[in-house]
Amino acid sequence: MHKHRTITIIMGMLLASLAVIVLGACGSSSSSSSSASSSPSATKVEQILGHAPTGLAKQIVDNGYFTAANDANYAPQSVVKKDGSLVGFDVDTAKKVGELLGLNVKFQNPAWDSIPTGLQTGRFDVSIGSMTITAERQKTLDFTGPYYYAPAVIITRVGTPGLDTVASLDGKTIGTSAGSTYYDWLQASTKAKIKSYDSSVTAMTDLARKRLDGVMTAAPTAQQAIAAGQPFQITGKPFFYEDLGMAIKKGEPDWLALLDYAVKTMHADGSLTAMSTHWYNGLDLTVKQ
Amino acid sequence: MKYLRQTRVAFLLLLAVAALCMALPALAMAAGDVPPSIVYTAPYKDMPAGWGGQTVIVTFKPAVHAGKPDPVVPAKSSLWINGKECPDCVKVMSEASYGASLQFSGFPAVPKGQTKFRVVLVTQSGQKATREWEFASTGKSGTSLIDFALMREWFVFILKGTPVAVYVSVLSSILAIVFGLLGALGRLSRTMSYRDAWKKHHSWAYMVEYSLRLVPYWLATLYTSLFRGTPLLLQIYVIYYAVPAFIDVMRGHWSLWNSVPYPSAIVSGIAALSLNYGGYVTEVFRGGILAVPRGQREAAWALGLKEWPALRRVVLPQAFRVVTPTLGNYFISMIKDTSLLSVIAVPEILKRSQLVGGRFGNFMSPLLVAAAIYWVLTIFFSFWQAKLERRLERDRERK
Repeated sequence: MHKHRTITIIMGMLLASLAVIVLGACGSSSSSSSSASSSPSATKVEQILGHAPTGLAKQIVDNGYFTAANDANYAPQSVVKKDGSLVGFDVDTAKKVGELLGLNVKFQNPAWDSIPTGLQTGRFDVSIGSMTITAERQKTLDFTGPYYYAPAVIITRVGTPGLDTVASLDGKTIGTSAGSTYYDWLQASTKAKIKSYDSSVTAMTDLARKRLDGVMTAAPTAQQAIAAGQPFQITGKPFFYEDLGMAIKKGEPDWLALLDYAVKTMHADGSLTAMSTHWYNGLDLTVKQ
Repeated sequence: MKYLRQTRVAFLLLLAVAALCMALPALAMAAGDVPPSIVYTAPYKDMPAGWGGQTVIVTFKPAVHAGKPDPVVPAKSSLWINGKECPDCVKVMSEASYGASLQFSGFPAVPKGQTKFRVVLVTQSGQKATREWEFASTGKSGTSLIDFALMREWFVFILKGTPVAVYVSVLSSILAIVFGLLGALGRLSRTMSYRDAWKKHHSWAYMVEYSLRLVPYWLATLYTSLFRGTPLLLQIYVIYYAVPAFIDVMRGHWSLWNSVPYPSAIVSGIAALSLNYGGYVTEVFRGGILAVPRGQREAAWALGLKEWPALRRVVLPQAFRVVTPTLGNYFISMIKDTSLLSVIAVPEILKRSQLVGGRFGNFMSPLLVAAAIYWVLTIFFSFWQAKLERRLERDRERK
């Protein structure tokens, strides 16, 4: 009687796990099939690289598409439309990259601080989500050259004195998004009290409610929020300019070379400038100051 | 032809004036004067987050005077809205690489309709820049935490997350019940302690056989301990990010794994939810089975029913009545726990409300919509759970 029950239990557990795996096979993204030698994207990529792609690049070319991650919390980099599709400067940039490389693009927008993990574990192939190139991040990720530059400012409530010098930040409570370059800079270069939030939007909500003295964010993001009716102001000059690039996991030279080629081409043929003036209503953020 | 001479003079004069008009800018350029140029104005058509009705922003490239850049702060700046000048507008200046920005606020509320804006800037060197534009104002003035118009407009978009949430909950619940049943049977399969087993047979061979037979028990105990002992959010992250890494490692060794795809976000979410809840359901089933009087099992055995039929026909139906309220609660709880899947980009209710909030810079309003949707779902399923409980209690009614 005991033996019967044991075997039943073990078989049952195996069956249940099998069910989960089969479910996974049904409901998941397509696997990497290998039949790419004659597809158009393969030849384009080979032309750019000068040799057949290897590693992640080979996998991407075989699949015919790459997955781009961005955080849809920042207008106009990435905004959602009523039908669920994404539009924005980052979205257009990713589509243009796909065009240049002959690949389709799939978009994902997970939580911002899990994007590096997603890149490292192969969930996404590239992050085209306005990620700043920093030495710290370069330890775990590889970046292309910058595709645009964003000034970093601290916004304050209208009617309060502006915070635009490092000295003025002493003892002030500044909010910013966790894991951002703003956080690192505030910690390293100022004596401000820093509160971290999951995005600039929640930080700005607290600023309006007088829980913060200022919020540090990118000037274009801030300008959107102010024009949308938030009672804030930008004052003075930016504290620094960030280089924003596309991030991939370390150790993929072919994929990095392809993306670098795309970025250089987009700078050269003016498409980045065109997209910037379109999404930022006339401002060209793609030129180094 | 009496006035031919005057006509000729007039014509020459006109020519001179025209030449001067064309030459002056060139002269100014030669002297190193470049007027300021306005490159950006807000509000503008198709702003993603709409216009709040309280601020007008103008960005301009600073002027150049005599070869040197003019001070950025203009000597005079004026804003006209629908022809009316803003007399005591608050003006705030800032600078960036793409130009200097002037922010006007403090003007009276702009009514709904086509609005004409006009901005004039005069720099310290006397150079001027003007821009006129139109914008269809919605009559909004400022952002409020609770924006009913926003909620109305995007309600359907957020609602579209409901099928995903319900689908994930139902599938995860079914799998959780399966895992729970197996786990409960495993946890219940231990009839004696090691000491009792040793006392019974005093043989090492038997101890080894006994240990092997306890494998399901230890597996089930490990399972419930692990999945009840770690946070669900953690499990979601680990399953979503660790499984592809694991598959990659496997692919490095056996090419067979190349045909194993990465589980999608929804599948990872279902796996995490069902494994987590399965741990709790295990204990619920174990309690429910133990609640059935032992006499029932003994009577079934006396009637000649073997172990599995006895379980299926006698014990479990009675246990079912005991566990139903708790399982119902877990299902309702699981519907709300699907909101955790927002961190791995599953387009369910909370994620959709976050997308809307991110676009408009107003999280509160979409969150309230999401809360209302979850509440309605909970009420709906609670109603069905109550109905099921009443049906099961029918034989207990006193006639």
